[in-house]
Amino acid sequence: MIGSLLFYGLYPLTRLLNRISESLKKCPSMVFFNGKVWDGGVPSRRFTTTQTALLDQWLSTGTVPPETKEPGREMGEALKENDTLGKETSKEAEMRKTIEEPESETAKKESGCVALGQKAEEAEMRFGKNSEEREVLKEDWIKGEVPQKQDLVQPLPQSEWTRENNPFEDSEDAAPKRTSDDSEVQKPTVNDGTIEDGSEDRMSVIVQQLEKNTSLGKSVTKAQVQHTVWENRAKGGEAAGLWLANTGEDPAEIWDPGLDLVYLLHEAQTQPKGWHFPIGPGLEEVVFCPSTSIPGMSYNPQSLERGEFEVVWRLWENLSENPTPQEACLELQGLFDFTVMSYNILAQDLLEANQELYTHCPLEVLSWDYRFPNLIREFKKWEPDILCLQEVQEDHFKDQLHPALSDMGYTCVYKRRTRNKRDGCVICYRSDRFSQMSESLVEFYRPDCEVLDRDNVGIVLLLQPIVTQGSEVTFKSPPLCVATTHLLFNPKRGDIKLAQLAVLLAEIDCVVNNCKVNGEPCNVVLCGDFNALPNMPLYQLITTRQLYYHGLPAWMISGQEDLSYKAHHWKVFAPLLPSTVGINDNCQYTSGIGPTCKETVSTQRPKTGRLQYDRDFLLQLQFCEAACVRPCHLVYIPGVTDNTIDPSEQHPFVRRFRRMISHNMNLQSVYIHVIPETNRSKVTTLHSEGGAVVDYIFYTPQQSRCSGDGGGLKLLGRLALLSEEDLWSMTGLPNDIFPSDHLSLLAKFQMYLNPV
Amino acid sequence: MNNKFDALKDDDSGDHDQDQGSQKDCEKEKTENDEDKDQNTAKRKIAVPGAEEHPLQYNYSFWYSRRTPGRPASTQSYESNIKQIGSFASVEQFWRFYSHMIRPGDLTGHSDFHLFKEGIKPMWEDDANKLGGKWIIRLRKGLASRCWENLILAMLGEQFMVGEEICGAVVSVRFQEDIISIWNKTASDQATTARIRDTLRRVLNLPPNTIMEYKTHTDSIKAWEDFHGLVNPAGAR
Repeated sequence: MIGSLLFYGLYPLTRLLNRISESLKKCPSMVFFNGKVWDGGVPSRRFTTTQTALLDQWLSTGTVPPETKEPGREMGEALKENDTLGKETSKEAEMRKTIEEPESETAKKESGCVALGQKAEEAEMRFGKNSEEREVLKEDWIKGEVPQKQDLVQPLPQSEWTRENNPFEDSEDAAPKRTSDDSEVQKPTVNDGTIEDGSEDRMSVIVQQLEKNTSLGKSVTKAQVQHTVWENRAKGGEAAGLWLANTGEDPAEIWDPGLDLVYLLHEAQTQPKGWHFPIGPGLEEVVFCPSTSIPGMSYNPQSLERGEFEVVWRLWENLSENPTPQEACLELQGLFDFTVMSYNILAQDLLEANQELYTHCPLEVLSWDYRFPNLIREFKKWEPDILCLQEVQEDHFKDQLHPALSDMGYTCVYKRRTRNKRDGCVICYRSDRFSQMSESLVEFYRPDCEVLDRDNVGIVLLLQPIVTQGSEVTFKSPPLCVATTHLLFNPKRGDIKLAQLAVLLAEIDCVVNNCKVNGEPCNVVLCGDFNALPNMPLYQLITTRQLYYHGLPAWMISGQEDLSYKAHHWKVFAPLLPSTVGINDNCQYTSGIGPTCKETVSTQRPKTGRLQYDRDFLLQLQFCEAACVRPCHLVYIPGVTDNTIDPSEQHPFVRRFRRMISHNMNLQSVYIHVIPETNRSKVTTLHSEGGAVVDYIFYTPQQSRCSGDGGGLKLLGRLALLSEEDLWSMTGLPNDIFPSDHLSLLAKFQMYLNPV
Repeated sequence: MNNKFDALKDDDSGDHDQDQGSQKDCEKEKTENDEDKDQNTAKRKIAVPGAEEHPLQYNYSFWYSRRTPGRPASTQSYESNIKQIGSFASVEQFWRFYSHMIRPGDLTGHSDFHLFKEGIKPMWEDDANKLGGKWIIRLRKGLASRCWENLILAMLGEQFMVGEEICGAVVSVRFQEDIISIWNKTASDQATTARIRDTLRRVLNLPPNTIMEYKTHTDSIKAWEDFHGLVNPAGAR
């Protein structure tokens, strides 16, 4: 038993050793003099015929016996992004030497990498000595992948691989390894988080390109960022290669098998990320820094010199684009930009009641007195026009948050959870930017309804943007419906979450409809903590407007936990809500006007009080007793009015809608959520049991640019989320920077105004 | 309620009967009475929602028309061919009528169902309609029943949200296709017609490429006259 465990535990190691010994037998590496320099520009691990011919040529011009034997290695997918390195200056090469020693020292901290650091150091020394001999160290590193090319001597742009594709490495490791780069192309060296000269320019270029390349509705994927980086680097590589050809200086190449182990044990990883660093102590001036030049920052956070500057970990993604000539019509219309933040600030009560979730945190960051100023600092940093908070403890709100937010110019609407719960939701809006037209405080609790027996709440506000141009009002803005909620957490009770969402959607629908009756399109922003993962049924209902829920396991609705292993699950069956709740399957009040849908501040809209009924409600009455009696005054026309009722036939057109829930609002998530395969995917919340995306900002997207009804919001930008790894590197959440176990979500929107 | 009845009588004596201008209201009623006692009864008995019933925002009337083969089509024959089937004021009363009527898809021949607000006749010339128009959707055979039901449920349930603008809805059964249309009061009100169109798309679940056509009643009248080569009789308009 123990033996087999040992076997499997060591299996990767034995495989590796086998491979190394094989390659050592088969494939001696070579060093030759006066060789041309590998240009490193081909991002493929396979060689074209011209390249192999070139190599043959090199071989014929003169080879020397191998100075260093190199094990063959399996490069795997890492080589896909093989490329030239970006920049090189002789100055940097010097710098590299100067920083080499401290770097290798820090590298020793990582036990697995001590040997590597030393070897790299040796290589560096050798490089220094041998550079005049114009030595190129060759290695058949590709052997494992391309056995038929064993005989070829091949240069390796190795350092690039080590830094860009192996996220387990530290920057400290990467720097010495760079010395072994036979392409001589050196990247800006990074020492403990500082950015070297020259990198800033490149970064700003990247940021500019990023801004150019991204637009509304497109995801700002890392791939795009990456792509830009590659392009830049390819150019740099060419230039560097030229320089190298002139100097003919070739550094040595060295490999350490330890890298292989790291790599083999590591599943193919996602692409590197960009980071956001401030230039100085201020928070405003920041520089975008792709992690290709600062690799592994998140793995070695202790090396950050926090004393010198503060790290801004979050990147603002600008999604706006320059208006094109076709959009000239917009200039006739006014524009109104605003930002919305959604933030679960972690109620102190709940923190203290669930301390097991925060065992990873230093005690001091858990105290409210520590967290509160950080919260306020974050609000002040971003100054959202609309601020939607969840888990706001009532006493903290009254005593601290409300006064502070009022001072900042916010008007706040608070709703505590029902019964004995002490926290709730708040929507705050800047009084100089919005005026409030209506307010609905939504309680999901219904004592007579089994799926609505919890205390969660929501708030729905109708806000009127304040548009002034000088003293005269030339534009009229459509109203904005802002809603926030914090749905039930319990991962097993997706049915309750769904029911709560239906109640909230009904309220929003009611508010929006009141606007429509008055001929005003109403945009919706729905945000909060939905306690449900992206693309799971609850999320789908919001974004796709409908969900077939009948028979779904209740845990699956939110997908927070995979409970499929359980023999028996709680399932959701139609109807989700009993008719007594007064909300139909289309998430609308059956009576047309909801119990809480009241307009407290009705400025210009008279209540229509129309008798509205939706289709489903009308159909419920189709076979009611009264409807089954033939009207005595119905004109009898054979073939026209001689139908007979057969209630058993039911309704042929209704059936397929019965087990579905739907709504009428067009909603889209501000953030693009990928399926969480790895811990590199972005999260909105993290505690000791893991991270997930459960918070969202949904909004009514713009339909067409110049549509007359002016509906829809244009997403101008958002504050990027962070990955689990990023967050663990700063000791998880909450920490000394982020005061909650959730991240704040922030989006900037634009709406079109109509001339008065 | 009496006001509505009076309004209906006024309408009756209005448009089409002006060429027979001398005809008194009572005489006309008598004529109709002769034609169809039940219909008269229906008109006299103003619909009111029963206790515990769900009242509608407006009272509505069902009408049925069928083109008699062979007879020349004219405005007048149209009017005489159209029959008011009954009026209702609540959801329950609506279902009583609707349930006892054949579905449009099962109708034979060249016939139409009309559902109009009480007091508005399903005719271009009605005061409520004369400045109006209609959205037209042509349906292949087999869809009319479902679309018609969805259309009138949306209308009765005040889903169009265009205030008083909606006049009524029509389903026309033809040989190759069926046509549904919804009429509104003000053809020139583009915001209203756009909203009606959008609501139609939603409630009928129409595919995005569905062709929807808006036609003003003035155009309809002109086209009709051109088609029939009619010179408008004095007073008919």
